[in-house]
Amino acid sequence: MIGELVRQAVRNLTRRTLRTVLTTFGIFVGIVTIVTMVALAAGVQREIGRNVAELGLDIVRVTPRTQETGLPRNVFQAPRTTPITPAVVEELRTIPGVVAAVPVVAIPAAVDLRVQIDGRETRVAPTTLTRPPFAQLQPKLIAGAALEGEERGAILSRNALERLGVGTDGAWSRLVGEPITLIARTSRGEQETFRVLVRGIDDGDRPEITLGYRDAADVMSWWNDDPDLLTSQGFDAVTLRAASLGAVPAIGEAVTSRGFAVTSVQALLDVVNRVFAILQALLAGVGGLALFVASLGVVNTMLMSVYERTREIGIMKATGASRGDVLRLFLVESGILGAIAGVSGLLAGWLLSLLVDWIAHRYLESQQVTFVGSLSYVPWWLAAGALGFSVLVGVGAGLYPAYRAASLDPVAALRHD
Amino acid sequence: MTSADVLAARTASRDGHLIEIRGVERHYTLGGGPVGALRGVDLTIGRGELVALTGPSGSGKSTLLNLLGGLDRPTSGTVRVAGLDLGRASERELTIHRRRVVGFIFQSFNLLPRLRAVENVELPLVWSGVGAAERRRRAIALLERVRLGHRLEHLPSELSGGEQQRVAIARALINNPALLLADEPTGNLDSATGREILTLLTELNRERGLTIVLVTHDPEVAAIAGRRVRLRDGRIEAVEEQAP
Repeated sequence: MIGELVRQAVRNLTRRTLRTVLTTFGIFVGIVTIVTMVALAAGVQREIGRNVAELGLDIVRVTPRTQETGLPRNVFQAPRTTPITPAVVEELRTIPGVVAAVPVVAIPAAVDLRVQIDGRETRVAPTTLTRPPFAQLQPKLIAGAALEGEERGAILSRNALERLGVGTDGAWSRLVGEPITLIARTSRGEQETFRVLVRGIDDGDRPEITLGYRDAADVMSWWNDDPDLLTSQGFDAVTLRAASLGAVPAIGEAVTSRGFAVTSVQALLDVVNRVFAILQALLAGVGGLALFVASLGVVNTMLMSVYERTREIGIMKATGASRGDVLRLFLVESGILGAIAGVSGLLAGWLLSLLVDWIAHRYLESQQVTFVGSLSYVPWWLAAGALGFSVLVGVGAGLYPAYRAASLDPVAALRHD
Repeated sequence: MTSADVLAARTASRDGHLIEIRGVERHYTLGGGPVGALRGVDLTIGRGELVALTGPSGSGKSTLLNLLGGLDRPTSGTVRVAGLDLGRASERELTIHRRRVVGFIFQSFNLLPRLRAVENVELPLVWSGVGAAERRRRAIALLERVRLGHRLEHLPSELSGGEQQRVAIARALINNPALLLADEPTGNLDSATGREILTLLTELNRERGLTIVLVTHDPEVAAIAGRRVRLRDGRIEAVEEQAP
């Protein structure tokens, strides 16, 4: 029965191909809008999610709260109301779900830091990104071992060693485990010398040094002229690693309740997701409006069709079609109108989003930005939703015309020319 | 019980008359006042009869045919066909009546223009939910019976008037109706073709004991009927019986 209805409906629609195409075009545009916009939003969201996830979803970064001074934060360090002292680090380590806690001491760029090997000296920039938290962002290790939360030790970059004239593999390996001289200077010319052990060499192409937090704290104690730096000011941050992703929110709460500020990649991701949900809703709303306008076109076409086929409806009724049969016939017809628009709209929307993605890649390339992901992503729910919704719009728009057709008086309908 | 069982029970309980019309009136509202298309008609028609309804246009003969076919309901009085009081029947019962008890043929054939001959004949079976293979088998058998076995796949526009009317007759018979209602079946045909159609109707009446009620204003057509009922101004003016 349904098969027969579909056959008849298709035959009726193909009889007036131009009208069918024009009518479906409205829904088509609506679906294209929705699919393109949502696919791009979903694609961008997915890429952000992926990139952020690479940073480590299981990492919670704890920072001290500071007083509001109203001064620029990058120049003046605000007093810390809740310093992260070594005792605090021990306490944080006991929070259920925490498997590691690595303190961070950041050396500001104002500190003039130099490395001296065999009488040669080069200036290096201190990096605060300690493994493991942001491992993906750090250059690959080419000799030795990572700091992995070690209290003392240094990782030197390949570039720094090259500047110092230590340019071969063998020399790099030999350097691991050896002490080097680190010189810190103020702009006024005061200076202090530290001895640190080289633990590893990374592939960095800038002159950099990464210090264990104890060594970094030594430098900062001298810089601040505060031997009790870690108990007065505390660490700049602690990175906690959670046993599982599920533990991250609870750890975040436990840390917050102790008065510290928390940033986790997951929290960041939640915000991103929320923003994109709103964005998608907005874009879908625009498409929805287009669909609503388009549905009026379907109502109009179907009413015309009912009028033109009044006599046929009379014949159907005279040959034993029930009200339901006539109703179904017209609903199937308008539903197919919607389905045609849905399928073509989904396809066109997907292609359009691929085109936008292609253009975006070409643009990024011209800006020398390498970006490998795709901005276009049609999740299954978007495809299913677009198809279902377009059929729904078609059927919905066909309700009144179909009801009119089903309610026709057979005698009057048969007399209709 | 299926609708067929109901039908069988109903027809079995009434021997003799297939159609009983008692005091039927049908009024329309036209231009502000009521217009009486039928103004008190009494008529009974037996099984296997071939009856012609004649009379000038506006006499109410088509209105009466529509009432018998369940396309319309009387304003008052009763129209009983195969045991069903059509004036009081539900919408569903009227649909079943049109589907299984009666078959219609019209002056202008009324075939669906986009369906092939065989598909037009199948149409009533589609509403009955008969499977495609069974539909095709029965439609072909009937088209062969009306001598159109060679025209199965033609569209109505590719058929002559007489051929179209034969397709319409096949369509009307596909559900094995008890009653065939024909509204000016030869009105759009030349006289030779018209005679062919009349011959076919007479044959069906004899072969199958099919009850036929046909509306015509052509005396030559009315001549094939066993009984001629002449209407005028919504009333029966005269009934002529004719020995078979």
